[in-house]
Amino acid sequence: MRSRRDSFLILTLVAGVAAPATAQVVLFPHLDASVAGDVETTRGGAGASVGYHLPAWRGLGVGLELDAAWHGHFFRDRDVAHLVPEGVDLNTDALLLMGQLVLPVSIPRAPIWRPYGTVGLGVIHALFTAPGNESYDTDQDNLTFAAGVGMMHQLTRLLGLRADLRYYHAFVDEHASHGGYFEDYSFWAVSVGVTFQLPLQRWPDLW
Amino acid sequence: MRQFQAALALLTMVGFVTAIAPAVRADTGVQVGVQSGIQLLHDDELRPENAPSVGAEARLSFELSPLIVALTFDHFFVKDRTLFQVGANALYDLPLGHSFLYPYVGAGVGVTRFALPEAAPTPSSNGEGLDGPVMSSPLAPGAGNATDSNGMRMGLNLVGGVRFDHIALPVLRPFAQVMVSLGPIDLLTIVGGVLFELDGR
Repeated sequence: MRSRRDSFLILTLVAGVAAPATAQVVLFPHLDASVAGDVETTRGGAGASVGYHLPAWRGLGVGLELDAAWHGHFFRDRDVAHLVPEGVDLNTDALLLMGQLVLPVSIPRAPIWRPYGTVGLGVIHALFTAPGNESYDTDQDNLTFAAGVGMMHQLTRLLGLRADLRYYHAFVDEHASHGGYFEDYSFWAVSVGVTFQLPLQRWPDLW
Repeated sequence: MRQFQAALALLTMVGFVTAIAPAVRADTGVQVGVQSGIQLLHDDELRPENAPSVGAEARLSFELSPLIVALTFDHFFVKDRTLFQVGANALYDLPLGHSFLYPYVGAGVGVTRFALPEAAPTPSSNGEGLDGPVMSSPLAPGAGNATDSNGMRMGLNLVGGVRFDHIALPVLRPFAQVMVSLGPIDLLTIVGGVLFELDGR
């Protein structure tokens, strides 16, 4: 596990160093809050994404990102309570793994601000666990579509701020024999965090 | 749904600042300080009206940005309960400054930690918070079906304030501000404090 993590970091650094002069590798650790929809909206989670951003056309950029996030207490209690007998505690968590296309826009008047849109596909791996009652444990994997808008802001050549609002829609097989939530679900989530950008450049000098 | 509206408001505000913010080059600097205030919203279970608070704050300014990042900690004194918030807010000085008073606005996120007196242990689904196992309690803030007696919740912070910056006080930066936290745990605090400039140009 450690060697895999080290390889990932090395790959990120090498990609950053080897990137074309106008490209950047962007690392984005973030906190998430689910704010509306079919999941528990008073909770959230944390995650990180790594992306590769390039200029595309006239101030429009394009980026590819891989994002992983962990959300605790994912589903609403009332939607999953029927899975266990009364008196049995059931926890639900979710791992969100997304690949996404990011389209940032450079604003000539405000070059350290970059609004962006994002669209992606991935999987939500939902876990249902009953501590002390493993017989109720189950999980499910669902293809998920996501789209959203956000803003990046450059603080230094290395560091920035980033926030976005994203809509997720998970496609669930209603007749699945495995899992705990048997209908499509969707939700909105806000992600806020810092960005680390390599190589160290001012955005106006990039594109 | 209210959180969704708050998120939309934040994005709209960011867009507005994007449109009006000049592409200025800012100075780097670090300020740290202490603050004290009062929380004005009332909640039967979690927070009485007029709960006093104390806290600490660090404000960081950066080479490329006119934004100041404020990292905050505030502890609220509530009998038999634990309530504190760790926050990160981006502040923007409004271009309205007199010679020594500088108004600012800001937005950010706050992670609020709470602990209520434990009620009878009646486990329910998802009775485990972000921070570990808990006893079930109907007292939990923020949602009818959130049954934790302790945990952490993330919310949106909106800040407005004014800081005092005068040549007669070369290192001290007194300030006063109002902060609203919107989310599972709503807070409205009025705070006064003083920052000490450690490094800057």
